[in-house]
Amino acid sequence: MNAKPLKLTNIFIFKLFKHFEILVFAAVISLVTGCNIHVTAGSKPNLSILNNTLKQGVSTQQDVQKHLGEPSGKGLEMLPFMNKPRLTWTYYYEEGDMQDDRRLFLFVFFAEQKFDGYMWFSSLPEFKVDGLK
Amino acid sequence: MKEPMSCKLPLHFICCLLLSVALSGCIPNFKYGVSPKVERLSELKVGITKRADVLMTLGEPRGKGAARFSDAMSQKLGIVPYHDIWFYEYLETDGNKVQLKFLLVFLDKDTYKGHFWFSSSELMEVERGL
Repeated sequence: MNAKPLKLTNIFIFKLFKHFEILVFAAVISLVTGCNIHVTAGSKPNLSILNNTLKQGVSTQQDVQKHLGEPSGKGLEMLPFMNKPRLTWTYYYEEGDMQDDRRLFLFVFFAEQKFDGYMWFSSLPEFKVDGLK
Repeated sequence: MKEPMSCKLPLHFICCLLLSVALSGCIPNFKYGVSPKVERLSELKVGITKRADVLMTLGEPRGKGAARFSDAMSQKLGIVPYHDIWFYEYLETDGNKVQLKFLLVFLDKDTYKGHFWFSSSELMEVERGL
């Protein structure tokens, strides 16, 4: 009994290549391997506002929102040396691609409904530490 | 007589399967930054260590920042209200999960004043008893 030899045309992958779908498949693979996707998240707050416009103990939440925009989130902060929590607004921005990804965090503190300080830190390119080399 | 080998699977199923395999192979692990050397923080002395020594001990930060504490709080704590921040960050992602490690180093002009770090548990070395 002779088994029929396995012809190339009988292998399913070559049947696949005959069809239009493989063109779409190849295009998608090319797209995935060839393109560099750039993504951003959030919005970048204007940090110069913190010292130039907002006043500690004076500026209100409305002032902060007017100048910095809607926060990404809100929370409370109570560190060991504090006797009561402070309202905290958070701002977040991120930008990156497959080669690099960097971000900015801003925390705005309120006491008695008034602007009470801030903390921000960022790895965005414009915030590279000067004079290190 | 043996039947030649043939595939009974639907063509579209094969396309999806191959595409999935190809795409999963095309999504590598991404790593950004350098893992902060938090184990060396004990070498820094508050109020004594200078900026250049922080740089030598911890390496170059990936970014910077600033903090302004309230005047009342600063007076209460006996600290200056304004601090520069050096920001060290490290992230790993495989497209599904993001692991991170952040270190903030607080500086009063040229002097080290403190730090704050946190990390995803997967990036921490888990010690016995913790």
